[in-house]
Amino acid sequence: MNHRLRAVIAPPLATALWLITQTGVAFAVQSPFGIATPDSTGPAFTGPLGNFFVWVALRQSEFYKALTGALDQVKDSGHAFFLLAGISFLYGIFHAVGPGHGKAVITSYLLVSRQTVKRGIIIAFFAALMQGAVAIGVVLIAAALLHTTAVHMTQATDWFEIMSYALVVAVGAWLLITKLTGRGHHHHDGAGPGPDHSQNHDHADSHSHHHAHDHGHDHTHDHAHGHTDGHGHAHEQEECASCGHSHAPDPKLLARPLTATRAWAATMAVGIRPCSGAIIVLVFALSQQLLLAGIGSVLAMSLGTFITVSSLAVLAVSAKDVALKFAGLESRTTERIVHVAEIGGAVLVVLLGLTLLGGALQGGLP
Amino acid sequence: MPLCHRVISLIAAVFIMVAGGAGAALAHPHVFVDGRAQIIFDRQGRMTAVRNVWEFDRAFSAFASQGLDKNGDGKLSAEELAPLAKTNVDSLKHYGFFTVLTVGRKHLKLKFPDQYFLHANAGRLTLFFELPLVTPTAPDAETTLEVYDPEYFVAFTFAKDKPITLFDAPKSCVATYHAPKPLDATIMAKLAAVPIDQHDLPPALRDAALGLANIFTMECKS
Repeated sequence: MNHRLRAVIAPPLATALWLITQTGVAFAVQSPFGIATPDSTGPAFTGPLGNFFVWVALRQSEFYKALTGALDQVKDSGHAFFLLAGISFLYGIFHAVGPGHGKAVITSYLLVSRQTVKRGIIIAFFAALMQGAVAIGVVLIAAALLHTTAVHMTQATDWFEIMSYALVVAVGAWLLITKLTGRGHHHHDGAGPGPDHSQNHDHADSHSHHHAHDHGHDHTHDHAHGHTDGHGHAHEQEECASCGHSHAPDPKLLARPLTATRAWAATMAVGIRPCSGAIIVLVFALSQQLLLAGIGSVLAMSLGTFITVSSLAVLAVSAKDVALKFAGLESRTTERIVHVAEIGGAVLVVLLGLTLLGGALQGGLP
Repeated sequence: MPLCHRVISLIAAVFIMVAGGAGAALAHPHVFVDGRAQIIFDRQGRMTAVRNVWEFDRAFSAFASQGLDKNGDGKLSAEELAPLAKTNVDSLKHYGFFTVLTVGRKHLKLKFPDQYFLHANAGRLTLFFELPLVTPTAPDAETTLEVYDPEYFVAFTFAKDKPITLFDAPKSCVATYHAPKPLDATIMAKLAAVPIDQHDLPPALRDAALGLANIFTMECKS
């Protein structure tokens, strides 16, 4: 490998590895008190950034205390609401800085499926908003309407957690199939005889080898999303049966329903699991007859989370774009290596999802 | 193909990291406890039980007591809180009750609480529970009691005034409270690798862990 290729492969792989190792996956996460499950992917204070995460944890702890304190003040003064909103916003920023599966999933998804910066921001926005909305929904329904207990609310959030992890596996598997099958699929159902027929196509080959052949000649075609995506549309979009890779995907292709579904799946995988802090704050607000202030606080938290997650998404996507530009878009070898790295990224997402899911299910169903 | 090998070894490495990183999770606290510890002695001067009194912060108390006021009288009776108290101790079992009693570098085995209850006062819940020693043991030169959550989901602080009380202890016994030192990255990193239920830390790591723990030392001059 020459240094250019290393420049291409290194940033996404390093990012993925860092995210995985910093995610600190925990098995059999339960709550010490049987209610309010800890964020199972809370920071592991290890690695080169250990000091930083300790600092983040301490800040989070302070903001969380200040937040519950500010909620008390809202009862006496309307102005205190702005204080509460400000603290909640900062808490959201810090809370999201701590490593969590959400950011690992979102960045892997963006890199592997070659999303644009804009899309990254949109997905981060909806994921953050969804996280707040689910917390609000759970508390409104379970506590305000049904008057159930903390045990039931914890069970509900544990189910959301399992759904979230299952979605991580699904998104990862989807990315992986997309990257691996591609032309092979079209071969089997004869839907898309692309130009690869001119090439010796050996199915016994390893995947990376297989793809190495695939991409040797189709980089002039323009689409990022592999062939499962194209698969459903192969009949109306013949040219996509042989689509290669693009670093500026056609907006029309981005809008395709399958891609949108996948984007929603990724958004939900990241955002469907409410954080315990938001639930506790909301129930506390409810108990003080300050539900609206609590909802405002949680939405401000979501905004803070969005700032952090979208920054990371922009950083990841831009870093890759810069690396690719540096290495040269036209290089076949570059294309090949990027593809292998993407397969690796998809595998990482599947592994992460399976580990999280296994951990969440180890103690039995909620 | 060298590239294949690279990718395979990379995936293998990731597998190992995912497996190795498992269990190493720390959250930031969502539960703040103001604690008090009590040690109960028998007539032979042996320790027979550790009693914990943990007052939760108002937010967690509100969350925990949600929906428990069954008769709607605005108060939480002992009966209304009993199921939650049971849930609490049943769950704490998996965390060794965050309580480690050591005599002469040996951890003493503690039984499941024979008494436990929750009490509500001014919007805060307090959990009381008593952990009997499997074998009543007399304190010796090196007796320590630690109360802490190494995963930092629960932040324990102890009252400056009477953080620990000894009941029926020999007159010569004095317990001292050592507040946790500020969190330190090295300590956290080491702690992260040790689940609480395997609290058999190597001596060096144990010393480091005390930086996070609320630790009580006891001396009985004879």
